[in-house]
Amino acid sequence: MKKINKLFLALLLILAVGACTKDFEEMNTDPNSPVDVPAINIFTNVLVGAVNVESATWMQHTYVGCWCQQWCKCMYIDEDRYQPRDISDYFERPYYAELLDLQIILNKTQANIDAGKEVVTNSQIQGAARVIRASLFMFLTDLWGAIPYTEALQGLEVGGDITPAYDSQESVYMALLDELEQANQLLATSILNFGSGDLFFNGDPVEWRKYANSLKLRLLNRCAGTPWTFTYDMVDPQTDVTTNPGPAAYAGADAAIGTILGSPAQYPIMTSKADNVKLDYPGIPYRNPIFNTLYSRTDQSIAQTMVDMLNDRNDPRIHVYAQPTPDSRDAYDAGTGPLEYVGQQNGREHNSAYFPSISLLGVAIAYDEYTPLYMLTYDETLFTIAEYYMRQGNDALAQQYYEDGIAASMERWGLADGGTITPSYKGSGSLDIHEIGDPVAIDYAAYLAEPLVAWGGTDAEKFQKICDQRWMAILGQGVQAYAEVRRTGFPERIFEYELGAAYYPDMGLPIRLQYALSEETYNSENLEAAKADEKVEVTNEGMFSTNGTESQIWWHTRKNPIPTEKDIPTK
Amino acid sequence: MKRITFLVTMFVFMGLQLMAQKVITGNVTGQEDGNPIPGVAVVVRGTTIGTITDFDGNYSLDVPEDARVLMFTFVGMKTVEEPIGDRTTIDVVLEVDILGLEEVIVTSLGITREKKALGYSVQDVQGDQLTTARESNVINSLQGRLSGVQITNSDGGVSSGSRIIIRGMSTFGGNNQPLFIVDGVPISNSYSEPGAYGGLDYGNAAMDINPNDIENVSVLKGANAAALYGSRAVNGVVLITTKTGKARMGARRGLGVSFETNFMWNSVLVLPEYQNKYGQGAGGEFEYVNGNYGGTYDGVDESWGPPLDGRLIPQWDSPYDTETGVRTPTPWVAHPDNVKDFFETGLTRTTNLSLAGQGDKANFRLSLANQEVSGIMWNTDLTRNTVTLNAGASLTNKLSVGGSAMYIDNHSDNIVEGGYGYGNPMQSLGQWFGRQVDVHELKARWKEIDPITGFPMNWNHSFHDNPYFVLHENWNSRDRDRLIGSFNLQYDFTDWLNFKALVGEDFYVEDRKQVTAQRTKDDPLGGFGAQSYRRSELNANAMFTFNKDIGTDLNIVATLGGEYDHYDYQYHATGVTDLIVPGLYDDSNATTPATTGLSETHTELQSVFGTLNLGFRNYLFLDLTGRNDWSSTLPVDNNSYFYPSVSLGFVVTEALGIESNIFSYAKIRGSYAEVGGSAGAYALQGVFDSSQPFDNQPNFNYTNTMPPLGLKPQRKKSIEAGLELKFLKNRIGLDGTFYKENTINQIMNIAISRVTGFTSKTINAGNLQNMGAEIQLMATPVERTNFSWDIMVNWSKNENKVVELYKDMKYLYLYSGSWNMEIHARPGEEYGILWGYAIVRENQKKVYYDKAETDLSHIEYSGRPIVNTNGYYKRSNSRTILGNVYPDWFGGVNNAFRYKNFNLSFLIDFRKGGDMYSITDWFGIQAGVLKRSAGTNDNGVNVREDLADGGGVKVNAVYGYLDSNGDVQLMDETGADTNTPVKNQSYADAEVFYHDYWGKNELSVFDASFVKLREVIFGYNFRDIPFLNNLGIGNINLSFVGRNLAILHSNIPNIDPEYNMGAGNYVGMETNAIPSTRSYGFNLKVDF
Repeated sequence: MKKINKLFLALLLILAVGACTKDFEEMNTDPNSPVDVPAINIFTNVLVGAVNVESATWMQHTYVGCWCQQWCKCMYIDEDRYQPRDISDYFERPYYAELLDLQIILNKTQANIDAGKEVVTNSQIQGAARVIRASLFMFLTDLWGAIPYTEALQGLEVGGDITPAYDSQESVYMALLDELEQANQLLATSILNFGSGDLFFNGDPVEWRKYANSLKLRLLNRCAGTPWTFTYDMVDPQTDVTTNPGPAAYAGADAAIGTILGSPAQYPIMTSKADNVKLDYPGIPYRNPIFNTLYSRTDQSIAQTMVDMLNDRNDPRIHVYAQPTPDSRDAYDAGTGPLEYVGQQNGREHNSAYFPSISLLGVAIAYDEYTPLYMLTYDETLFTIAEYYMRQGNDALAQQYYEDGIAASMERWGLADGGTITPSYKGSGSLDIHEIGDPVAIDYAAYLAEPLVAWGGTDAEKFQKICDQRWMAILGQGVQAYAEVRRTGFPERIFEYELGAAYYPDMGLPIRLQYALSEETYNSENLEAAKADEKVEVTNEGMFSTNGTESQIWWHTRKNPIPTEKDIPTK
Repeated sequence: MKRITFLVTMFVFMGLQLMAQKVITGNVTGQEDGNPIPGVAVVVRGTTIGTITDFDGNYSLDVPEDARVLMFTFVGMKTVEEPIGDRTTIDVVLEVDILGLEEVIVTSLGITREKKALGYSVQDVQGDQLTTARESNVINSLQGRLSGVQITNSDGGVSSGSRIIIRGMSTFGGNNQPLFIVDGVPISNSYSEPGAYGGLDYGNAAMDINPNDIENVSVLKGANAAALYGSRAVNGVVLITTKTGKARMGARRGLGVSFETNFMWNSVLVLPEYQNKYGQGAGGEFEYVNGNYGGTYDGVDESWGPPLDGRLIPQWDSPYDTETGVRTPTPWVAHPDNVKDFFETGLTRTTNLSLAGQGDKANFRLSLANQEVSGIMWNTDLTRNTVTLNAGASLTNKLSVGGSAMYIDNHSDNIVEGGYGYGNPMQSLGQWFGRQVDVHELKARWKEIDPITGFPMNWNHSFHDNPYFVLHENWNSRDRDRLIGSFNLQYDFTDWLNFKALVGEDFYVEDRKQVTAQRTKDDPLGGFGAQSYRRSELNANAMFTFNKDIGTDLNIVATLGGEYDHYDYQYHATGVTDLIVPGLYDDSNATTPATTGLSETHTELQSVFGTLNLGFRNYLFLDLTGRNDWSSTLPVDNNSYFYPSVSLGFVVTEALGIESNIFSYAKIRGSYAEVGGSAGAYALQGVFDSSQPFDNQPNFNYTNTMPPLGLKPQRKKSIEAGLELKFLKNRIGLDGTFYKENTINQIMNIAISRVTGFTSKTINAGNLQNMGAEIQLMATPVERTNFSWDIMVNWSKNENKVVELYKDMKYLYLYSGSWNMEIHARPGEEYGILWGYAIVRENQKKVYYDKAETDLSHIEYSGRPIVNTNGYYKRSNSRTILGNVYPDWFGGVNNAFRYKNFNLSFLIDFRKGGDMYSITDWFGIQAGVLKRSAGTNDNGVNVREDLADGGGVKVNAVYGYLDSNGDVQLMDETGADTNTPVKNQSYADAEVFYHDYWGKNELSVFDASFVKLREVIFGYNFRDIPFLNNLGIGNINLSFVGRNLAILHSNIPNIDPEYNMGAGNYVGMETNAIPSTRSYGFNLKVDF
């Protein structure tokens, strides 16, 4: 009997095992991460990410930030000579990171609105979310053309297999205009703040409305056409090239701009630099990402094109955008020469960079960990309006907005009229910043009288001035600058000189980016259909158009010149 | 229901009475030396009645009157069966079973069985093979000794991991390594995966086991062998049995003491071949000002500078006058050994002391071990101390208990970062470097601050830190304290029924800290990160064993058991950037608040299992097993899964009564098994991840893996057949196995179109197949009293085929790789495709996914490369298959000679096939440091000379280009189209040509086949020496040993073909490998 008891005990032990699985579900609930968080806390993350997408990653550092010739990669110049690395992630990331999170915000806020819960706040957050959403989709479509839009981001709803179709750029643009219209209305429900997680405007819905409508102006202006001819002074022996006007991709663009400008109460837009959309960095662990990349490695500089444009106009922004060359600083200290700014020409051979005679990016651009990055600025908005008035033939208003735009840009970079700027540079230690030379006086009137700045000349030349000034103003916003360069054909230098070490010789500036490799794999049918629609070419990684303007993106309606003669070093 | 049936059956058996008994006594000795063998199991065949021999080899056993045969078994010895008859004294002499022909072997659940009775393949290695020529990571010692088992050591770092793969990869990207069981307790073998862009290799956790404590390592290779361990054993099982007080061979009476000491010196096995003709710079120019582009190409970290002809050039270590700023030029000369001299001779010193004792009712073994390793890189180290105690006692005739505790302290003050990161000294010395740099100066001056840059003196200030500064100041420490313990009891109800229970625990706390000193290039303000891991796995299992002969022909062994496994894991991290006070790595010493993290994981597995083994007339054996698991990580309605196995062994010679001196033994075997598999924790629900608050604002984002719907357990099906043959009185043995294993319904994350909002989703899919053959050949060509020669050959081939992925999915990333090189699983192809950019060649073949040939997969190029009219290669437009990272076949040959008291053995192992992408080669050639970059061309002129002077690189190629359709078009030297190939006559500027390697992955893909001299042991046994005997010393063994002595054959330049990125799945890509080491030394073992 005793034996049986023991046996029984032992059996119970075995039976106990495999018998208490009912707490398994609780055990398998993730103790580390929440399954639900407030929309505003997701929005915070989206804003940091959205700025990164456009202005902080290698897209800016080595791709379009260089391709628009504001910046230059002096060492390991592969991208700068249009030999791309795998850029899949720049296409994909907005979808699986920021846009997914925005979709969650839209869903959450809509559910609350439908349930009558905090309708005002939820409407405002949803409005702000839609503005950022539009901005991200615009980033995508301006670089790649056709992109998934209507069928994108459905992963949350369906568990099955989804391969989203691509929408044409035109339909994306139209949808984004709608989305911004919705945002404008959602944000109009109240002027009360909607939450402190908004890193841009601290929850001020009025500022968000201004952002929504000014972004809409940028969108509309992109597809409003470039109605002028322009003659490029190609390098001999190549003959000069005259380009035709670019028709409006969206015929209703200018009318829509007119509607916005005509009803400021219904469509408030930016009216001062206080409305600038920017992210101020608080320092570790959120340092300015440009600073974070460049403070420990020296392989990037200001571009020759930018330095020449500024110098040709005696532009005081040179002291902000660039550092005097080390050689000229030595000469200045020794009393044997002046401070000089020299940019590196984009796309030159690997071993052509000689840093003692190259100007690095300015301290306020790349060597200050708190310096903000911009999404949309008052100055750009003014140039957009100036361009609109040019198209409308309203010369006086065009001039006014052009000159206001210049002033707004100067102010944004800390150059107040009547004030001074002292050149500065980063020392050879890690973070030490030094000033050098005499303060330079800032005089807006004198600047506006500069031959290359002063309003005048033919309409085409006035257009060029607006475009050049915008290109100079938005330093560091390479994605936007690259769009404007393609759309307008300015600065002209980019189209007159072939890169010294062009990876695809005699092809000029790439007109589009290669689609993500993952899409070729996981969504190939839809991607191939989109590529066929867009007439993307097989060769040269699809980045160029050998068939005229056919594979250019939707709003890119001009045929810019393709230079064949190489850029010649100026020194 | 099943459980209840069993219960009822048990009660029925309870009614049976015990038989009358008699006592048998005897003595067991070894044939080789005549010494008594303690710890031999003496069992009445067909029952659980048994005992073990004591220290004098004596035993005494009560046997039932009807008992017929006594079995004497001891691991490593041939089993003896003695008919009892009328005898009451049975003495036995056991023979050493050096070839493993006859042996008993440890199988699932620690059950020792005769190999003969198994229907599947198990192979083992005896403990003493792991200790003489010692590796600090014991897993490495198994290299070449087991067929079908591939073991790869990652690199020459002090704590580098060892990767063990049995019969190929069975999962897509998940853990592919076997389960480790120590004395019945599952232990962690978690490993680190550093990645291509840098990271730390903390090794694999099984490296903690002290080889001196290991009696035997038994490897259960297939699902068949491992079916009873359930889901965790999908990749096979490594069963480690530790030494106990019962099992000491050759020990004398009373307390046994054994002392062993081992010294192994480690030096670099292979370094890249460097050029010594040109120094740092670009375009043939260089002049140092600040090492950061302040001078002429002085920020360039490549060696395309001036010839090393002794000319005077200002250099980083030239005398510098801080007053005038004048740097006095010094001779520009080669330092051919500058990389070699960076490395030191490391030393691994091991001391082990063990005590064992056995009384009538109890036994114990206590072992103390200390291992000190100094690495081949300055200031790197590893210390391991272990204390192991094993004890067992018979409390009553029926109840015996036992327990073991193993405490391990594994500590490194500094290990070195691997991969392509600034923390890896090989990055700044091995592939980017100035060939003129004197490494002794770097070591002498790392403490000096450069007056211009404010950073430690270094040859370069644009990209790199002084490597000695890195090694001394930026240390990465690790300290793991671990306890593996178990308690077991056995209760014998009757002579044919017993109950065993075991509770075991593997617990460790591991602290890691990575310190970055101020004035580090990438992080000038310094900081640190510290992590703490706390891991606990509690395992309890209990089992009834029924063992009875039915009549004279049939033996039945049946078990029924249950298992409970609970896993807890906690991770805690703290990090600080921007230190206030240099050198103080505390979270209060920072300008900003510390960042912290905390996460935990809990999982549980519960199981019930049963086995039935039928043995018929000792020649036909049938095994059936079944197990059901309940896993906490699967959906509630899908968390239970059952899997069966069946195997059959048939000893032909015995069945047919063949008794021949030539044809001694033949057995065929076959089996089928399934194993289920579970999911990882918390995979069923989408969650939000948090980032650091931005300006005090909380910050969340949603995960990128789409949560699964209706996840099911995964499953592996395995079929195996084998043949064992022995000839010439067992002098030659052959064991061959063929297997086919398919892992289906895998729980895996597949990549999906990112525009869905997710990067991947978790699904059940895929069919990954391993089909292969394993052959072991054992022979004793010579066997004399004074001389013997044994050969053991292992060979295996495995074809790892991706039968199916998921629907029309075209490939799965196994590793997203580096510099556009990826590793893929592609349907219909072998697992582990290297996928990257090729160079275009004269012939092309388009490969399509579909029969209609509309969906292009890739283009295969063959023949001579094409070049443009300047003589440069052309990169393919899109990526293609560049190789496969897994070997075609591999194996090892061990020869062991014994002459009187001398023994000599050498182990050669080899591998055929498997490709590797070498970043050391790729960047090394681009950076102009490798010898090839300064070779001589067919003009007899150095390629770096001006083209006008006959220099330049001319490759064997033809002219061509890719037309607008992406197709190959041949051309002539003027660039005009042609149909006949025109041979390249163009000389390309060497610097431009080699920089043009960028993007062209194929140029640095190599075949990683090798033949290595893995181990040599030469030893002498001092035994029966009266002088020593008087001192109480029974036996002294002194061996001179070497490990990894030479690469006898390799097709890959500059690196060890066996390099692995950590111990994980990232194989086939090498980046700045820390060189592997060659070890040599001696081992002294003294038994008292």
